[in-house]
Amino acid sequence: MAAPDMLDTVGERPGALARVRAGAAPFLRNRAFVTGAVLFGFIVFATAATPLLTDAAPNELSIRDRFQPPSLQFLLGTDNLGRDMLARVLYGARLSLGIGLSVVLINALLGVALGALAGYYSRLDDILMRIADALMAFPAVLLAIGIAAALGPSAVTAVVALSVVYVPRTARVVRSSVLVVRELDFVQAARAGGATDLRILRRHVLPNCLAPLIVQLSFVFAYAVLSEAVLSFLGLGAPPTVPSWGILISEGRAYLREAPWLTIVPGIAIAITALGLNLLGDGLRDVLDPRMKVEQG
Amino acid sequence: MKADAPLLSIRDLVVDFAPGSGRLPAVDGVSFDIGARELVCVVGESGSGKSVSALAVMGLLPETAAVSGAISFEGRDLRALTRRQWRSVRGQQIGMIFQEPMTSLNPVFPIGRQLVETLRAHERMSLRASRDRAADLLDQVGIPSPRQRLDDYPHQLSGGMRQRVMIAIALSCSPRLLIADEPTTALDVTIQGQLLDLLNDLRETFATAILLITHNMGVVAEVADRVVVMYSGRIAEQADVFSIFDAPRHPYTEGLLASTPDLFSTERRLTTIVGSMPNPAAPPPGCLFAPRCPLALDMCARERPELRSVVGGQQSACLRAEQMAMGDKP
Amino acid sequence: MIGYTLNRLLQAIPVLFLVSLFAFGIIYLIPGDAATVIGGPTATAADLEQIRRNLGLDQPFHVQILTFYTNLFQGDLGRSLLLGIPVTEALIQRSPITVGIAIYSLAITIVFGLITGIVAALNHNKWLDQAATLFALVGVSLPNFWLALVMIVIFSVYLGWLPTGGYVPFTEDPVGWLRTTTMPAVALALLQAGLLTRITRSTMLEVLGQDYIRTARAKGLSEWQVIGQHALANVMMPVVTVMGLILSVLLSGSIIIETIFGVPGIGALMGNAIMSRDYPMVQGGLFFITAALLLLNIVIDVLYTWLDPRIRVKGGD
Repeated sequence: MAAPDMLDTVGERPGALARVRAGAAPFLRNRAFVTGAVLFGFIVFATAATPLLTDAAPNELSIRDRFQPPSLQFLLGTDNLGRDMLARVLYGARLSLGIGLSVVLINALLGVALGALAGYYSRLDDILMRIADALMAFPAVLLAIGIAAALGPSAVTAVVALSVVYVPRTARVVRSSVLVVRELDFVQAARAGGATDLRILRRHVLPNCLAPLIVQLSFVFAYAVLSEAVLSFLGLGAPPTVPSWGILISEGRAYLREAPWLTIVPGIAIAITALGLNLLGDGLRDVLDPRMKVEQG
Repeated sequence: MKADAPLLSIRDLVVDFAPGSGRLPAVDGVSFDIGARELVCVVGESGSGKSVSALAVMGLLPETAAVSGAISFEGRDLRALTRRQWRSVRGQQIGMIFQEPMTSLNPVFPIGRQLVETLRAHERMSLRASRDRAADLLDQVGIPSPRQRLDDYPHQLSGGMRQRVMIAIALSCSPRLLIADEPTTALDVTIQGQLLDLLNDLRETFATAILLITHNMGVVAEVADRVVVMYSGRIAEQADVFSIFDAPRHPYTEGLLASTPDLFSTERRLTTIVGSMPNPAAPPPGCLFAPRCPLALDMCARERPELRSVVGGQQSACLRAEQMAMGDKP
Repeated sequence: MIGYTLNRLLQAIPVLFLVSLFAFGIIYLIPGDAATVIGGPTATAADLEQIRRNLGLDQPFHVQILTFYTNLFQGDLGRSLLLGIPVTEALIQRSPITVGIAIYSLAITIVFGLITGIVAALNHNKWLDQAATLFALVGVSLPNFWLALVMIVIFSVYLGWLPTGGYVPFTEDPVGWLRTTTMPAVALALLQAGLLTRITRSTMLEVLGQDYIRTARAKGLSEWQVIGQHALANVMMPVVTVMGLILSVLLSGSIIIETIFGVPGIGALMGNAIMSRDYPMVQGGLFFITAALLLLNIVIDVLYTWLDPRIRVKGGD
């Protein structure tokens, strides 16, 4: 008696599923995208499921177990105070990824807002782009270091410094696709039809800038994780009680001779994350080629 | 026997870019000869396999292409050549010019250098001598003040001038055969005529045979000795130029003639062949031209005709070739 | 040509002005009282007063900015709190060391990046291509300071081939210079080499599909002439344009790399200034390095137009 119901749901599901499948197919065929998704997914999973993966606390001291090399008991070894490196790297991921994600979100908000304003209102364009040019004239990491040095070490500092560096770059990407999209027929038609600027931007222009934006944001995420490590390494990131990956490397540096794993392990975590994000970005770019997107629109 | 052997002989040439896929090969069993000093035109629509055949003769097909059949040049089997041996054939014994004069020259080198390097790749000569020779060549292809032009970059020349430079490069080592792949198609009509005349003159000067690829029957009428008509990777008809124009033995040739604006009269016959070439992935079972053919019978859709001699040296791949001469015109 | 150069220099002026403004503004980002932050917890009231006077913080804002620009036009970027000497002097003193390593690193980048990129393109979709692509991706995904530390572990700690740090001037002992600068140069080169590999590969793939490459083959040129001359000359163009980006990454990387290897160049100077809150030095260094990069970018642009005959030689019909 449940059979007809089941048939109904079964009858509906393939439709939705098939649509998702058809949409996902080009991504799943792209080797860079799949590899990147697996690598980054692995890091995200490990970060989210940390308590399931290890019982150890990141700051739990155990003087007896100082400088244990990687073994079955301590998979990634222990540091100078006997703290479990696996736990430290896993908990460190929260801060490293958290800072990266914050930078990405700020980039998405401010980058889109400023890019759309500059691309849509030519009067604002000149001023905004001059400022962006000047900010982009600074070497990225150097500017972040300069700002962080002034603001003083904290996680917020790292987010602010990295946002100042990458928002102009994201805004430029958004702006250039807005410039293209705004001249397209359907946007012109909407404008002729009396739609307000805000409505045109939201309904027509921004959806068409999404592809290059997503690609850009995945690269920004990778740069942010790498640059955060640089800032932390220089003592400009989060304070040392919370171990971010950059700080772990910086702490390990003092024991390069007796315990190289302290330095090597967190670096590999950074590398996997950045590699995964770069691959994701490459794959997304291949699949969502902005030029094709515009032609379809 | 050796003396009568043709300069270039192609036998059963097959070029397949997707072997094993069941698609129709780009070139499918093409055979024709070119004699010394002869000018042979290969005619057909784009996609008929004429350019692919030319690239096969030059050994310039991508490695992924499956090639079979025999290509011999002056009795030498070109398909057995090593890389090194190929280099002495290309540019020296066979020259080639391409359709796109705007992109066929390297934009970052002066044209003089591009000529000189060809000369010096094949002959031992000093830089000074090769520059003199290069200037001579530019003069021969009708480029004014050739010596000053040697240091010009391609972007400083017009399309017609660039194609003249390409001709000079192709002829620089006095090859026995010149392959010209639609050399005038990308150019203005007036310049087309000039270049055609130039090619015809140079053919005498350099005593070279020419394989001219074109889709324009007007060009064929002006310069060809012999004509090979290709359709969908196969030869539809081949004959001397007079037979082709006076008594075509294949309805496709007839269609090409009908759709060409007549070079020698102001009257334009604007009949066109309806339809398009068969999809290589799903070719018709019989004659590949049958779906578009005004003369097609039931048997044409069943049987794919081979090329055969009809009368004299004229060959046709039409089952009704004999009837065509009897006035059974569309 | 000269007109173009002048034009580019003129265009750089507003950018340079904004850059200087940002560098000037950094000190106002310091939360709370800048003098307290600089002086640290042990500073007495008199110390703080001294710091304020040295930095001009006791003056009204418009006087501060006016003084900043008056000094800037005279090449005066202030006095380093840490070293007690003018910032400009310190920067100029240390420049040759950083420039030397930068050139070394750039050479490694170009040789390695070009070769891998070209090899990858020539073996398109074969395993060599995939290996090179993977290398390039890993290169841009590794933190370069981490690579520096790993190299120290391998080449200094385990193998004992190279010193863990220090610097020997080239003029005193070229071999010593090589021994001390090779690891910093390689660590700096890695990321850029990955970048250059990617760009070279994609450009080369595009060039190989061009008609003029087919022409070069049809002329019977050797594969060396086709690839090494006809293709490479066209690949070099876009590669030159990324030189600016490469130099920028290289110079900012030098802060951390020079600090790690104890190389007394501009990078280590900046690194120390940051850690000891020597703000005049940080501001001056930021402006100096960025201004130098802007100039280098102009040089590269001019070089590019000179290299490309399509821009250099006007004419045609």
